[in-house]
Amino acid sequence: MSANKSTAQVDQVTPVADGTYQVLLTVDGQRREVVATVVASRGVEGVTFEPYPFDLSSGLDPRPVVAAVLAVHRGETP
Amino acid sequence: MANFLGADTAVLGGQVTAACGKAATRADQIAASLRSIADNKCPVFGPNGETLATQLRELADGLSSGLQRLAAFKATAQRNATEQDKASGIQSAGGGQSGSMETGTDDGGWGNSVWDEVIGFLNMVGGGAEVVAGVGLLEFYGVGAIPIVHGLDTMYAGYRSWSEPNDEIYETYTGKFIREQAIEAGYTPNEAAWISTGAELAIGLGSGLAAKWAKGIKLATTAGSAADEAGESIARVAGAGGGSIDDMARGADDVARAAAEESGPWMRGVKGVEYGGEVVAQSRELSCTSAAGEMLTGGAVKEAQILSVIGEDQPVTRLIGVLNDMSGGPNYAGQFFDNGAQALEAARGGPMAAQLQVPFTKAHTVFIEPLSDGRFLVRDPGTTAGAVYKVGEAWIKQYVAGGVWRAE
Repeated sequence: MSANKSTAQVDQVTPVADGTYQVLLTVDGQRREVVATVVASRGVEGVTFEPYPFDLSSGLDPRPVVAAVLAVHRGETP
Repeated sequence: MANFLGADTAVLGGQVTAACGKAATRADQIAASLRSIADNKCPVFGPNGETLATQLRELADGLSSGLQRLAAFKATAQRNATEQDKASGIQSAGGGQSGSMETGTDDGGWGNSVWDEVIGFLNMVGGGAEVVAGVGLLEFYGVGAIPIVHGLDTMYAGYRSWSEPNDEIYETYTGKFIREQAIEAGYTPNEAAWISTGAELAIGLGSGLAAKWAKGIKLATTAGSAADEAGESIARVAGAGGGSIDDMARGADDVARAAAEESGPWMRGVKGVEYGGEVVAQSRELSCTSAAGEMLTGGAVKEAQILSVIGEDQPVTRLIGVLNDMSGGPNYAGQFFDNGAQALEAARGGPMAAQLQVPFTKAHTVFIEPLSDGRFLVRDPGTTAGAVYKVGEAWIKQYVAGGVWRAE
């Protein structure tokens, strides 16, 4: 189940509403824009994406993107 | 050359022509994959990686430029066959003489230098397919070194046969070694040649078929079908005179069984895997999320229902919307985590569909339930009949990137 060595980086996380962020990424050299929403359930704070930022077969891990969004979110939340 | 392959030349001619057509249509894909491997400076190349990457690019270029020559050859071979059929008909009416392909010329028949180019080119395609498949296998199973080395060996031998105008088919170092060992063991030179050929084909076809079954490997998918088809083409040509196909098929079956027993690297080292049982096996190659959704609803919503809405190859969080719609309310929640501690906390909270993530590996969705002993029961839809196994906290923290569960 290996995939090719796709690369991605988070370029910018911008608040657009309460708990919602516009995320600009570069995936394999292409700019991509998704909306991330911070949610909490089972006592855990996490993120949902619309659309999901990666092709599942790319093997790219969403956790670094979640970390970037939560870092901005927590920095802004008193 | 008929003796080299040990088959009737006329029959073989038709097979080679067909194989050339198939190889030519796939060779450009393989060449692109080889360049990709070289460009990524794949770590499997080791300390001489730069040199190997450069040589790999040269071989890929040879593969691409060989396409044009192969296409021209195929057209000539087909014209030759047509004209030969006509000639045979006339001659048969006059005295029963049939044409001989071995007496053809380079520009219209099956002269040695043309044979050398064809065999050389097919070796390059097959070798290239092996390298591509081998890299995929190494990343997934950690067992691809043999096909990579053998593939490079085959490509190099093929490249020399194809590019050096001296009417010579170059033997691989692997083949030469095996043949010499067989002679030393007491086999006749002819028997040793067939042992060598059979062993090389077993290595080559095994990796090609493994690439097919190692579903989800993007690298292999790029050239997976190409590897398979080119491998089959070459095997069909060379197998026309020998009896190693059964051995190859048996070896390939073993590889297939191994691949079918693992849904991904997260199953490596897991003990006590039970295949089948209380698990919903995914009905399609990429419908794991829908199958996990059925398990999350306790069977109230079927995989097919979810699949009809979200389709294949979807992240686990797509289940939130579809299951809420189908259940008539906000009954399901979920998210992606930013670290393993979050994943563990969520997994301890109760059953959930979980998206597993490993670098450079296609994501996969399973169903997880916490057990009273602190471990977790995984119902994995991804193997042939599905699988059930138990894992610890470290497994959850390492692999679970997101989850969906019943809302409190």
